[in-house]
Amino acid sequence: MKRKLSILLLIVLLSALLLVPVQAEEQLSYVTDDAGLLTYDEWIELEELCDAVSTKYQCGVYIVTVDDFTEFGSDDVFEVTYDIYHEYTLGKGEERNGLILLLSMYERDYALFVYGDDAEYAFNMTGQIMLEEEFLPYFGENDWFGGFEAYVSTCRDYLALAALGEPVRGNPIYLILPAVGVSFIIALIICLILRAGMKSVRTQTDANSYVVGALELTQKRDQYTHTTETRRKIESSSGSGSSTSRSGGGGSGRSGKF
Amino acid sequence: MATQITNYQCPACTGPLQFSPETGKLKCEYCESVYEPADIEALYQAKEEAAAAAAAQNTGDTKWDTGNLNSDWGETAAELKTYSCPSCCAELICDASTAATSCPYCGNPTIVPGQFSGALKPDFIIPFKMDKDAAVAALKKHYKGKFFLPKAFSDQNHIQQIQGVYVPFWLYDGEAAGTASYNATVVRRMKRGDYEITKTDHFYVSRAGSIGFEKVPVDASTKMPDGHMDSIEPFDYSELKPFSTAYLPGFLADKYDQSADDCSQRADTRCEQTLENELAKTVVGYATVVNTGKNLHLKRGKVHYALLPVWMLNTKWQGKDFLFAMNGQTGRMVGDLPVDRKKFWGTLFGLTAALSVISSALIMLLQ
Repeated sequence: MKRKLSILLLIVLLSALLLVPVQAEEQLSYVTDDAGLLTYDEWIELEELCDAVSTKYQCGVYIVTVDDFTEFGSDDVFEVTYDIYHEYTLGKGEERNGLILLLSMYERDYALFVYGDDAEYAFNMTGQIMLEEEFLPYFGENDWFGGFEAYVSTCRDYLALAALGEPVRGNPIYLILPAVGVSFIIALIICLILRAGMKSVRTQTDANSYVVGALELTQKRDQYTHTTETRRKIESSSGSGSSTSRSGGGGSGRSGKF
Repeated sequence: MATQITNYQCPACTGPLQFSPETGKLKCEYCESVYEPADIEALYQAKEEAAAAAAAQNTGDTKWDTGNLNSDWGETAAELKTYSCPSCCAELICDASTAATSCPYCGNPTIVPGQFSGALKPDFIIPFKMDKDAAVAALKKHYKGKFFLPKAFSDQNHIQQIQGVYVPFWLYDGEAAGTASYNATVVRRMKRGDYEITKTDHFYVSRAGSIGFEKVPVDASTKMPDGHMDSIEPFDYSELKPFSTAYLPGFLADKYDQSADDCSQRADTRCEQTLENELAKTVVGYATVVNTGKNLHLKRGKVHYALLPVWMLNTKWQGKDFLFAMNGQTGRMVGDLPVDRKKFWGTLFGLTAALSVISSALIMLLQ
């Protein structure tokens, strides 16, 4: 019953955001804390922070927390985040530039979705990874306000850089060096396969071509002896979490565990 | 001392007869008369018997004390035999194991019938089906598509020697039987709370069985490289024919210089390996299977002696010999080719550079 009420509250909050976009800024509706992770003061502070950043750079910065994302009719946290963004017409300007961070507490899932050309310019794949590295360590230690604050302030910094025409980009040398290494290995494999084709003389090790009939099996014994067991702790609260890049259907993003 | 040797002469014009792989018949090069091998064989049977008797008499001659002769020949003298060409009377000196050759003076194909008499007589022969032109064409095809083959090798390459040879093979019949044991596991994974549990069930698996083999070939000539002879397998045994010297004219033919016992180890190893593989194939449904022991034994059966057709092609490049062998029945060509080192390293670094540029460009685009 409590969960249903929570969902209803989330829908009402997001509907308000959708139906009254002009008033949304006044109603401080950038942060929807359905999972109840924040105190009232923290919520107000984050709302103000998100509002300031979103208004200044015309790129909506949203935070949503839920108990269990599967209650939204999908078993994919990224899909749920994508749906929320579009169903409630989030974003700023005609292109609806913005990004949304969703936390689902039941199995500690998160998803980050970026939409709009300007938003994706400021937060490309590398930018998303770097942004993620800023807030995930806080969530790993259950510091929800710290994580959201890091998320919003990092968004502000990245949007400021993008406004100056210098969006955050990773140092390409760290990506190019492994790419050269992988290229060498692929080239070596191709060359060795071609070189192996130069040799056709091989000593035969079996007599398969000269078998008469088939194997006559006279004994077949499979005896169970014992069982061994190993346990491995599933690392679900690591600082960096596990994540995968997502794209398609307009926008891009990442999802994983925290 | 020269011994009597035979060449098949045309009953019509006395010209030399050659076995034609295309028709499977003996053909006169001069009057183009064509004869069935069986007819010619019958015609020459009496002559061969006489020659075989002469060869038998000469067996003792090989033990002449050659120690007093010119020491330069050394032990080689005992391994050589001399024959008179029945066509031009030239003295032919050849290896003691040579049974058919051609006279270097008049080109007549000649056979030393004594080499294939008594215990030395092969049981079977597979006649050549591929001629010399097919061997040359197969070699050119063998060069095709070899990216690292030096261009100069294929462009300037002249085959120095091409020779059809009936290679002596031992064909072993038998059965391999035995047991093999394995340690096998089945792995199950499940999740309990914050833990992933891996349960591994261990099994002791044993298998016993037997498998029969027929005519496992092992070449019986030290002159023939084992790798080449193994690589041109298999031969189609449905075309095995009872041995007849009528198939020999036009080709070299060697008699064995390794006994069936000397060669049996190679056949034994191959049969055991096949049984081991077949037993292992029956161990299914496990995540891991590790062989822990085996006890294999062989029931050795008949051994057959056969001459099988092989085209041998020699070439030299940059001072190194390259030998190719073609199955004279199926046309399968084998032989290792030289690798152009510059091309290899150039391709490796060129490909690396190209892939690096493409991957780097993609990275920059995605940045």
